[in-house]
Amino acid sequence: MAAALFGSVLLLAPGRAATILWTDVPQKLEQVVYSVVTYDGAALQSTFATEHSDTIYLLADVDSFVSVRKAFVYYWPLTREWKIDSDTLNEQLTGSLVISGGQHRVLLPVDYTYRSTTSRYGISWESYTDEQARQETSEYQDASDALARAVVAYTNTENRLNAERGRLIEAIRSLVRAGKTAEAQRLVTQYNSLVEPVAPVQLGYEVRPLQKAFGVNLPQGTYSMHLRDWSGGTLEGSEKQLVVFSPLSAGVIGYDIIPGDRWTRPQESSSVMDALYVSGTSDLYLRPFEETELNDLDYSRMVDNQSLGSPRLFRWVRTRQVQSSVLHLRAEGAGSRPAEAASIVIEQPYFVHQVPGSSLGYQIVPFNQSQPDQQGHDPSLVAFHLPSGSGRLRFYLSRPDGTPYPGSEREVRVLRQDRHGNGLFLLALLPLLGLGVPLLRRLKSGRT
Amino acid sequence: MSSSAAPIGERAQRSAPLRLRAVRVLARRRLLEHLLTPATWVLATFGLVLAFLIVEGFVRSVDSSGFDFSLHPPYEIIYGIIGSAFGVTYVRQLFGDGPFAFASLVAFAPVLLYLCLTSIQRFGQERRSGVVDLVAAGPADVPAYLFSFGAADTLVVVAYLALTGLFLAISGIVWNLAFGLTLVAYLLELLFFAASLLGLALFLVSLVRQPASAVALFLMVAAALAFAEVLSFAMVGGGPGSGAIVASWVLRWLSPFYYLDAARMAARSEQTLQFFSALLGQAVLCAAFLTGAYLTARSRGTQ
Repeated sequence: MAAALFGSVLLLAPGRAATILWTDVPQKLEQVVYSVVTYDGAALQSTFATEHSDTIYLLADVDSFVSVRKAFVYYWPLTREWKIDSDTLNEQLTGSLVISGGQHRVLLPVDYTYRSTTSRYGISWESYTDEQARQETSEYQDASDALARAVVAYTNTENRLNAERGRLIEAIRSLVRAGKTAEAQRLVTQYNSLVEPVAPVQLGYEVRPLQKAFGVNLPQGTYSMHLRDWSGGTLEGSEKQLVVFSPLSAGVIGYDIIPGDRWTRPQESSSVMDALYVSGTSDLYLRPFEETELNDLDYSRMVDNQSLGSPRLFRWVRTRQVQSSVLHLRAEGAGSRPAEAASIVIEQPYFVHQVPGSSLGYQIVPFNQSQPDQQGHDPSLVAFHLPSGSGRLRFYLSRPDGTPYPGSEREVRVLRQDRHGNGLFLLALLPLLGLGVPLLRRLKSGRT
Repeated sequence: MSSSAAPIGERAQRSAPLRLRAVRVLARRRLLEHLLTPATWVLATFGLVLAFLIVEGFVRSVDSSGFDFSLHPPYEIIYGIIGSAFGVTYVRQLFGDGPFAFASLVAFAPVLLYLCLTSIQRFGQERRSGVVDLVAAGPADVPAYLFSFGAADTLVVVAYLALTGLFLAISGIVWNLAFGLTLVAYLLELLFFAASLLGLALFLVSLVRQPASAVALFLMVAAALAFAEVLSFAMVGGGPGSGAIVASWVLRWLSPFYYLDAARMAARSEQTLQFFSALLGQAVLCAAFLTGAYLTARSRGTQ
């Protein structure tokens, strides 16, 4: 009996050891993988589609770039998604991308790049192809090199200046110790006359390295596509369905509503049908942004080809903050501010600083670089300020020339939370009076 | 008494004024039944109290940064339940313009369910006891009988929706909540939804002999359609999807819940055409159910 048990342990041991050793090593498969880079109006989105995914999603009438490559893919059970091991194999496949459905298109690879420009309203992206792309990257390279040279020159000048300052300080100390105050004074004047070098200005934009891919810009529709290699055949595993979708609505204005006492908890108003309810205990700061309304499934899969989404829901995706606009206000209802019955608010920069002490709150103040705590800082936000009040406030956004932005109308309502609902509760009980109808009927029939 | 072998509806050609008069008389009788039943008043009160609690909870869930589900525990539960069924985007949109979309639905649900169940029960009972045949032997026929049920219940629905609308409007004035065209749109959706669901109830009761079985069948079908609607909001990966999800996509065209949601979403996106299309869809569905009920009653008889 003991021998049998020992024997079975011996037999099972190698298998058990193998399980322990290899259970977490994912199996890697060589597959044709599509890489997709696109700009959704707010950020550059890149995803990939393995052979396990049969559909790629793109925005209609927007430049997107698709490349096909051979790579190892493996399933990662912890995050339940496919991953690419591009270190071992990452071979870009050449040929032409054939797109059918509607008009038949055969696309050849192009050089492309994206330029990102940073402003106080955020980052915007622009795509360039072929000659323009090469020119952009070349100019950016030159500008970067020039900046690097300027930084080196600035650093050298700064180092030389510091060395000179050190030398002068030593000399002044020696002269002071020796009692030669006149000569020391001369060196102090020389020290003060040293000019600080000007730091080179940052570029404020970035151009991504040049890459090769198929430039896809299609109208809304469902297409099929595959990679045709140079021999004219279809590359196995490259057949995909391409869903090109349009926004339900675009260019609509949404708002970040930031309460003055809770800078970290902004509320978002996406739809013109939204009413903004607040308690009215704090000032509000509004930050308008453009947004598009996209199908939840289509957008989710465009951003990440493996993600899930609801085909029946539409979600608002913010694109960029609206620049140089004017807010038109109209206060209505009881307790409205008479001075602001109809007024215009101009966008201003503000600075957020933490309230000292144990309250640990935030305070939003107008940005003023002459204030000691704001020196060397950028504004925390650029927004419209609405003082706290009561009643109802309607507003819309316009361009500086007064042209209203579509879908920018909103309503802020300060709830009357001090009112108790006892009267309303009694009102809700009012239908109980209807019980009198059957009672009366019974009484009446009883009498008769 | 007539038998199922001789369909009542075909027994005589009634003139339109006679049929209309029959509908009016029968509907008045049914309306009186509702008024004399204490349950009608109790459920109406219950619905309004629910609406009050939802609106009051919403007011208590607003602070300086706006509406926040986590400020009021019951709302946190509501957020959890609806959010897990339909997704966070849906639940945020549901309360985007205030509490009235949800409050009107919740206030209406008990009354509507009650109307559907009593219609089934009453129709089933009257058919079994021969009342339908008796009535149909006179100036009325089966369609008139069915329409009288629909007309009386719809009148109750209109009255109750008007009461709910008035109550919500008053609460809007008290707490400074926005109400206007959107509230009217929500109530209009509910009216069409009620008509459709009542039509479904009459159709199902025409299929089954026993009133209790008809009630069970109605509850089962309504629950299945509601579940299919929830499933249609499920997060999918873009592929063909599971069998249940595909089935829910097919079933939705026959579901009053689908048209209710479609109308609600269209109203929120200010898509007037889609809104009225959804109402039209609901009306067509209601007509289809009533036609189905009539045809079934005609072919199988009323006994």
